[in-house]
Amino acid sequence: MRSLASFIAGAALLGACPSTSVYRSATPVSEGHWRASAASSLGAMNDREQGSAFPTADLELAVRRGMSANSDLGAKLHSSGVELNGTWRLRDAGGEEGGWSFALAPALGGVRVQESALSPDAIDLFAQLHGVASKELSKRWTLSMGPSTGLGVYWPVTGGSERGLWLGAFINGEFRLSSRWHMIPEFGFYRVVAGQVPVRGGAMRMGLAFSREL
Amino acid sequence: MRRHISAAILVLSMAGGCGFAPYSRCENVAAGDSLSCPTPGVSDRAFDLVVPTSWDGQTPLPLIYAFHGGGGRRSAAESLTCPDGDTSDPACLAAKAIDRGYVLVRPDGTGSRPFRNLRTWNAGGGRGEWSCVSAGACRAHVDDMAYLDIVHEELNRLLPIDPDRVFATGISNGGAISHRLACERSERMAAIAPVAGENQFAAAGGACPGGVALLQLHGTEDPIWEYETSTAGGVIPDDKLKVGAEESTAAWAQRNGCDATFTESALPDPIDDGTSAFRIRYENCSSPVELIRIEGGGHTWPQGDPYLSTSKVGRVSQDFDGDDLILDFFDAQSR
Repeated sequence: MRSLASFIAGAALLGACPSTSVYRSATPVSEGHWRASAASSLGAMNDREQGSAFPTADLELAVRRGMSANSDLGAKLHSSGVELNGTWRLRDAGGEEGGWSFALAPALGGVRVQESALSPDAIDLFAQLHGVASKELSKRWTLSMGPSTGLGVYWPVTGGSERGLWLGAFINGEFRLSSRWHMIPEFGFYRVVAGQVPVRGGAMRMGLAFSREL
Repeated sequence: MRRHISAAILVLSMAGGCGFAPYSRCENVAAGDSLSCPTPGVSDRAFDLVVPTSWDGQTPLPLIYAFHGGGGRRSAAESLTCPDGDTSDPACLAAKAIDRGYVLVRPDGTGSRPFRNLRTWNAGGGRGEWSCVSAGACRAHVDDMAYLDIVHEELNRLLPIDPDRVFATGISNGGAISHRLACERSERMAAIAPVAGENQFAAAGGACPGGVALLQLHGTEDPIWEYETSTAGGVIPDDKLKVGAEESTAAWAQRNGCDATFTESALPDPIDDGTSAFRIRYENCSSPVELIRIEGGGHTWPQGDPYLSTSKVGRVSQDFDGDDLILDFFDAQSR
């Protein structure tokens, strides 16, 4: 069991997979305010062409800052790399009963992987775009979901480069534990529809985040 | 705009600030060089090139391909041949090979995804009852012969290679791809010396004309690729067959026109390590065929690195130097 846990940890650290987590709703952080979060997830990835499947794991720390009434910027450090992202709210349901808010959540990330038994010296870059549709189910619960797409580039010292384009989706529920604390369970998946980064196949994950307004 | 700048800083800091330096195409190779070269037109599959210090810069050089095992990478093709895995040891294959005037080349197999340095070769099988050797490269039907053709062409561009003295060796999946190379590029190869890996390609029905000399080494207590044809063994068992050492060698003897019978002689057994080796030699062959049966030996390189515990891969025989045995065999072969 310990060796399996070590393998998963090592794989997460060295597999250079994109972090596809969202862990937020279409409502950005209030202008001028900060929010910090920590999250972990478990999942699985498969490569159809190579006939392989294996577990995945990710840990992340993130901060967000409200930039305007309808936008925020964030930075994420996760076990597979770093990411800069944002939320750009397109529609605010406000107090509208049963209304949906919509946002776009772009992200740019990457990681430098050092030479090891699992990976050559390489740089992985990822660009993603999530569409976020959110609806307040109650004063405490907000449901969010949406499509995701991403482009990855794998650039090893050993020559050449490879790319991949994936499509997926996510769903999460943001639960307000208190005025400052939020808990966000999330499920997400994607399928690589072109190329082979990170795999020729797909992945799914289930995670849990805790965030606090600062 | 701010995001663009941030992204640019991210990339530049990772690329420039962290010493990221993609391999440049090798040029102007000289005596004593030890290089890592990208393979032209192939992503993420480089090769190491080690040139004898004694080379005069003109004389065509004999060439040895050293293939890593399944799940390894090109550096492992060297470390496995070294006592305790120490690549600075003069007892390693590369050091001994260049002392004898060989160019040594260690190519990279196909990386698995997303763990790109867990590399394998498509050495055949995957048809009917025969196990696919090995893993991702085999299941994805990677054309490793095309890849090795590119490597060979690149080597001929960089160095004068003696066309009559091209050899291959490797362990496990690396041994099996040596067999496939000898089958599918028999006109190129003078001899092969696989360790703990057999001719799965031919066993599964691949065309193999023969005419290449063979020195096969295999331990009788190999838990990964069993000495006898069986479905047992393997890192990830799949209930499919892997061809055994005697069956694979006997098939080569038939291809090389050897007599059906063979002589067997014991190698010296100076170390009490639980192993002893025997040489099975076929006679009257157009190209020599020999099998070194290592009684009690595991999925290991003789006097090489005990890379995993004995319980996982078996014993490393210390009775003879695998590098010297292989190089002595290659010294005596030519097309």
